[in-house]
Parts: sequence; structure tokens; C-alpha cells
Amino acid sequence: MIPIDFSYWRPTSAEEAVALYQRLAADRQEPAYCAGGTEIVTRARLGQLAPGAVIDLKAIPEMCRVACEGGRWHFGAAVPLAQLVDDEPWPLLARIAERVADHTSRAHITLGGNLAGAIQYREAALPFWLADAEITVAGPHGRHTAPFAQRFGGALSLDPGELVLDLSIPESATRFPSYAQKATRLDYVDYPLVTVAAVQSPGGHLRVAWSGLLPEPFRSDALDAALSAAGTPAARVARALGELPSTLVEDLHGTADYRRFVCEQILSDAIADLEGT
Amino acid sequence: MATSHTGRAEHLITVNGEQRRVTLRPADTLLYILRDELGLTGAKPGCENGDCGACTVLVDGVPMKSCLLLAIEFATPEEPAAGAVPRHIETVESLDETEVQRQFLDHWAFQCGYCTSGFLMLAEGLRRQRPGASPGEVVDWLRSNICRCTSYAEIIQAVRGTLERERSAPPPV
Ligand SMILES: Cc1cc2nc3c(=O)[nH]c(=O)nc-3n(C[C@H](O)[C@H](O)[C@H](O)COP(=O)(O)OP(=O)(O)OC[C@H]3O[C@@H](n4cnc5c(N)ncnc54)[C@H](O)[C@@H]3O)c2cc1C
Ligand code: FES
Ligand code: FES
Repeated sequence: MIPIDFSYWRPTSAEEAVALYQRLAADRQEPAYCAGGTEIVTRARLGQLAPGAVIDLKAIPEMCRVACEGGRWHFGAAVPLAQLVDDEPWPLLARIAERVADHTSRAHITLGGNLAGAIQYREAALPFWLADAEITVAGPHGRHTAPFAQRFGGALSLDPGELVLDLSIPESATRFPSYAQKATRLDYVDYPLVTVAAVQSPGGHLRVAWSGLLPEPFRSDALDAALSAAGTPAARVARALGELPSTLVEDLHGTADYRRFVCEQILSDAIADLEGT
Repeated sequence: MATSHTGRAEHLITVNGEQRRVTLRPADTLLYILRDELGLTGAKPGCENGDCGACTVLVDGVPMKSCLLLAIEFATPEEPAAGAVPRHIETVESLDETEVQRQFLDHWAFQCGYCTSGFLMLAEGLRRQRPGASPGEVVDWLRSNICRCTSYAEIIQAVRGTLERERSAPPPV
């Protein structure tokens, strides 16, 4: 049971949602956007959040659609992960999304919620880092589209009242050879020990994005360059591991050393898979 | 136009094929309203955190965890707009005398029974959406729920039995 009270709002356009947020915030009602609601509901029950008003984004049609238009695939921020897995418009995103949470919870958890949430793994962000993605945000000053990496550096950078409308990638990026792996320690359904998404871009260059290794998702141009340079797979993996930050997460899922060991196995596997070695 | 709800008020929600009138706060979870206001105690509170699946119900035929849903999302206006279809919640109380119930009994797919209603709803959702599910898909769906008594082998047999019966059933006339 949620021990606090809040009002509930269901706007039908992004502009209406943003205007509502502004009005409720000015009224000191501490509004919160809500999509799948899993984090809002569970954290409010535990007393970790106390919104005075909840603005549900699921009745905004453009946030609930997945479509290919003008050579780009668009993914609405309120689309549940289950839909991205079942319809599989982008195989790499489907492979990553199908390991987030469990089958039933993926019918709740949305793409935007996964990226904007406080739970730090944000695994659905990884493919977007590798695919020249753009993100469209609506806020009090209108709509802005920017390269995904400008807004997402492990966590989303949003001003109060801004909401993510959609993410898009060039259609060609859905066809890059790709690799996905999630290693968990305690159970198959779990937060990641290490999750990796990797692609081979048209020039043969490998790009990798990670979750579980650091307190937030991570990617590094230097690591990608080391992995893509000439040499045997073992030498490339060794050089890439040298580019990992020195302090990796130590928690109940595993020690930093164990994480490094798992990374080595996963990177070798990724090279073999993507380059057919 | 945005709809909004503030404070405790009466609403209509559609459960097990019936429109039910219920008093709720916007902050009430569907699990709480089903159990404490509507007396449908089949949906069980376990973790109330999305992890165990004991609270699973069907929403328009899709298994969902009622501890993660706000009941207000299912409120329909007294006079709905033309063509508007209310979202339909189904709980384990609607599965009396069904194939999935028989299969769980025949395979002894429970011990203490606390998780059973959640597994039944999950299995019923699978039967309707994916009658041809592969063994891998069945396991993927079942990983959504936890059985503390570890009846997993029997639960998998009951679910496979349900799907086999569904596939061999003659098509409706
Ligand atoms: C059972 C379970 C297992 C999980 N396992 C994993 C896992 O394996 N890997 C992983 O990465 N995560 C996992 N999570 C975490 C989950 O992905 C996040 O908690 C996510 O926030 C939930 O998405 P939601 O749509 O339900 O978010 P909500 O609860 O709706 O929102 C979460 C936050 O994001 C904000 N928000 C939502 N949508 C938008 C938007 N469009 N624009 C701006 N802000 C927005 C909200 O204001 C809120 O602060 C798990 C969660 C659960 C319940
Ligand atoms: S009580 Fe809902 S998932 Fe455990
Ligand atoms: S039968 Fe006891 S928890 Fe499953």
C-alpha cells in the first residue's frame, strides 16, 4: 500500500503534459512523470519518493509508437520493453531488452522509464549509444532533438519538467552485425554483473557499451579503438581491458576482479561472434 | 484533454466480466483494491516490488503484476465516450473449472499454494497469447514468478499440459 496521497493526471499530448508539470510544480505539488510506473509505485510504497501529482504519459499517442519514417526508426519513450522484444524492429535492442527484468515486468517497464529511472543499470540505453541515435525531448521551451550521447552519459540529463518523447536511429543501423550478452551471478533474472552490447560498424570498427561495470552505464572511445586495432583477438582484448577504469563495481553480484574476468570472456566471445574468428 | 483524479472517490472498474463500483485513492495499487475493496483475495501480496509474481492478473489478456499498477488507471467514466472499450482485469477467481486449473490439480503443481494464483494467471495468459509456445518461451514466461516451495517441475508440466490440450482442442464452431 502506498502511504501517501497524490493526484493523477492523464494528458493526451506532450505539450499538455509539460504545461501540467509546470503548473503543478508552480503550485508546489511536486509532480512526477510516470510511464510504466514500476519505479514510481515501488519507491512511493517504500517512502523513497513522495510525488504530490503523478502525470501518466501512456495516453500520449506519439510516445507509444514504434515506426520507420524518413529513413529512421522511431521508438516512443512510453513503449513497453515487451513490445520491443516481440515486434523486434531492431534485433540488438530486442536482445538487450529481453534480458531486462522478467517477461511480465517487461510488459510494464517502458523504454523512457528504463533510461530516466533511478535504478542505475539502464540497460536499454546501451544499443542507442552504438547507433548514431537521436533523442527528442519536450520541455517548457519546446521540443529539442539532439544526439543521444549529448543527453545520456550514463544517466539522462533532463531539466525539471522535461520529458523524453522518442529515440530514433538510422534504418541502416538496425542491420549492423551485433552482439549482446548479460552475465548475472545470482539468478538468470537479475540485475547485471556485466551487460554488453556491441556492434561492428560498416568500416569494421567495433563499438561496445556496458552496464553493471561502473555505477552507471559506460562506453569509451579508447576501449573501442583498442578492441578494433590490428592484432590477435587475445592481444586486442588485453589492450581493451587496459582501457577499463581502474575501479570497477564491487557488490553482492561480484568483485571487481571477477567482473574483469567476465569482461575478458565476453569480449573474446564478441570478437569471435562479430568477426567470425 | 487531460483527465485528472484527486482524493478518494467512487469509480467503475471492469473485473472478471463485471463492472464494479469501488472507492479508491489515486495512490491505491490495483492489488490493494482487488483484495481489500473488492474481496478478490486470489491475487496475493508477496514482495509488492515486482519480483515474485504472486499478484499477477490479466489486463486485456496480458499478465501484469497488480502490485505495480495504480487502480485509477482502470477507472472508466460513468458515461464512456462512444466506442471506448474499458480495460478488462481478470483474476484467478475467474478461472474456476478451466483447463489450466485442472492441469495444476492433476500435476500437483503446488505445495503451500501461495504462489499458485499468480502462476495460474501467467499460464492462462500464455495459453491465450502463445498456445504454440516453445519450451524456451514457456521457461521465459515462468521466470516471472517465484515459488518458495520450489514446485517448478510440476508447474512446468501443468503449463505444458495446458498448452498441449489447447493445441489439440477442436477449433470453435
Ligand atoms: C522487477 C523489476 C526488475 C528490473 N530489472 C531491471 C534490469 O534487469 N535491468 C534494468 O536496466 N532495469 C531493471 N529494472 C529497473 C527498471 O528498468 C526501471 O526502474 C525503470 O525506471 C522502470 O521503467 P518504468 O517505465 O516503469 O518507469 P516509471 O516508474 O514510470 O518512471 C521511472 C522514472 O523515470 C521518469 N520517466 C519515465 N518516463 C519518462 C519520460 N518519457 N521522460 C522523462 N522521465 C521519464 C519518471 O518520472 C521516474 O522518475 C527492473 C525493475 C523491476 C520492477
Ligand atoms: S507482490 Fe507483486 S510481484 Fe510480488
Ligand atoms: S507452492 Fe508454496 S510458494 Fe509455490
